[in-house]
Amino acid sequence: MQKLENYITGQWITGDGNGQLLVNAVNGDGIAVATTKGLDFKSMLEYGRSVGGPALRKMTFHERGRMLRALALHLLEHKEKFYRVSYKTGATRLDSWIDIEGGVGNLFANASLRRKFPNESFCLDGESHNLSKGGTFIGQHILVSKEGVAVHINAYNFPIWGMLEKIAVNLLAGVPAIVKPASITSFLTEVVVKEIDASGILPKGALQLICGSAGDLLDHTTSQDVITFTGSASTGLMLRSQKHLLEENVPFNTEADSLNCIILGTDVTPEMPEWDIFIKEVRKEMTVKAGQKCTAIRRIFVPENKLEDVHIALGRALSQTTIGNPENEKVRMGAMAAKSQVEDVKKHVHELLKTSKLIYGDMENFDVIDADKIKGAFLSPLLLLNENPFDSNDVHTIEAFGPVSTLMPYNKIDDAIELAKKGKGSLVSSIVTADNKIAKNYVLGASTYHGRILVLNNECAKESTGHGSPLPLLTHGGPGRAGGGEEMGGVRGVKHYMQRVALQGSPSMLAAITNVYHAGGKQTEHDKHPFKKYFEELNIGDTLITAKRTITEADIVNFANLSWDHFYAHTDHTSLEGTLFEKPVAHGYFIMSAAAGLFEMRRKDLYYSTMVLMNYALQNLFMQAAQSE
Amino acid sequence: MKEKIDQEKKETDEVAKGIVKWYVEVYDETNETVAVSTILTMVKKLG
Repeated sequence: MQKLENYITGQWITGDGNGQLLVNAVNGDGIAVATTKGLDFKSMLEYGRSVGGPALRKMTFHERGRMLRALALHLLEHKEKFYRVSYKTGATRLDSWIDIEGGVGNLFANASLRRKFPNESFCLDGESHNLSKGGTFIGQHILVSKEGVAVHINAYNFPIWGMLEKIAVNLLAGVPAIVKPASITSFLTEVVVKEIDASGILPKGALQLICGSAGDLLDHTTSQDVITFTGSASTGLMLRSQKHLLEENVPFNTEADSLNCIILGTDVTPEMPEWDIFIKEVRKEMTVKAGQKCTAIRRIFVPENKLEDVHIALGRALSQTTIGNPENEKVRMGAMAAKSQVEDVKKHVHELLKTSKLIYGDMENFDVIDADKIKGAFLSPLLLLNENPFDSNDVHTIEAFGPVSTLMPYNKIDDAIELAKKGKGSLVSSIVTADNKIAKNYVLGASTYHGRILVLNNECAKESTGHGSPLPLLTHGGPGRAGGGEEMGGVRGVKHYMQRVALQGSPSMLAAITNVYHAGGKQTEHDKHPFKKYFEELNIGDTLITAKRTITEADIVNFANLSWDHFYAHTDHTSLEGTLFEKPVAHGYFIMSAAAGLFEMRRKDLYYSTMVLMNYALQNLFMQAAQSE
Repeated sequence: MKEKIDQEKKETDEVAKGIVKWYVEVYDETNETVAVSTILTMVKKLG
């Protein structure tokens, strides 16, 4: 059997020994062997730090963003190759779409994020703060790329998305990565990394891959590295509590599977569009990717008086789930990633059945299309019912990581909030309601225990990205059971891989360091009008002190007439007593317009030689009451 | 001049340009600041 290759220190290398046999989830056929035995893990980190890191840090955010875009386009060209291999993980075309094109979408989203950053290798974080009476001492947070490696330990359910959603962010931040996908589906990650390598788009050392055990890799990490872990809560705990990581203060981000819930609002009746939206969302979350999603709905809370109707409607919806060979077009739910995962789910369902009962599906008796049920890792969707969710802890803590969910009743929305919280922290929760008040109560009551909340109703359902989809511009993670971490989230996710420094000094010094002018900094006047200078010729601190202009009452009246802004503060001479004003004041917009005019005035030649193409925007406008003479 | 933001060319025949941020202060006759803002202009590049 062929061994998967590991991509380390710029080379594709196979490990020693027999390794772990990886099999096709649909028919049990062997695919490849994963082994990392004998690999020098320490050298991987050193290679990333000494080769990949410096190359990425030399690039600006804009260059890194364009690199991500090129990579996204390249991978899309080769996507059909990935789809073909992905079937072997048990995934349907739709499941693979989430993994492949969802992953590439993360590259595109982070590529576009470059526009939120300067064309520099570092960036400012927030505004500067004046720290002195005389204005000669200020503070400004800046962010610089960490000098280590992002070590990503990923779950088996999304071998491609799991890698791309993470490396898109660390690469934009200027940090190289080592990816360690879960072994059982690492054959798919390997195919993608080979394609990334073949493209030559990433600098050397920017990405390395481990297909198999991570050996002693974590023992060599330092505070400049960042470890991210996606997987079960128990493995996360075992990894992050290693003494070395605690001693070295190695940043560790955990994203663990959680007992995510959906709430049906008390206002929703079977006649409302929200009813079908709810049923469809639950069915989708239970069956997409055979329920193997860290965000999947595990707990379904519905008003007690709707319990039976929901039970019937869900049963009907789930009965449309055709199970079998994902390559067959009739199949809606493919196989789980491995038979061992099926056994694991069954074990957990048995535990849940001590306090719940099975109301849809059968663990053994179900049909599969175009596949061998014995050889493949198949399971039917299983809907459980627990009528006393306040009396049971198991249903809120035992996770069956497959097409399994438990239906439970509640009375008031406050009860639903309490029940949601019994999951001890979740990645996501959804509420389906058309009632603004119910939605607000739920969101404000349940937010402390969730990383993301989706409020679904008829207004947004059609365009909603759904309960289960983490998005590149929104945070993904959750408190407590969900791991306590945060990934992605647009600009804030990038900061995860950068060191924030509170920089203090004089405004001129900080301007020189950051390439941004700070109030109070040195201003330099030149003979040449700044509007006559090309972009490249302008320097931070270049200043134009304009001529003066007297603002008259006639100016104010004229501006009021021109703009139709006859607000009393600009026009009323007789009854300003008791107001903020003593006499009519000039319009703030007039002051800014006059300033723009003064910029241009007295330089007739300017009109013929200006490099300014147009005014682009006005930001942060603050106005004091300017009174006329 | 407060800050320069480079702009990429979307099409090859486009004029090369960048965004320039101007920190603007307006003073009254007593030299007191009456308005502060940041004006952004689009400026031609040499190349």
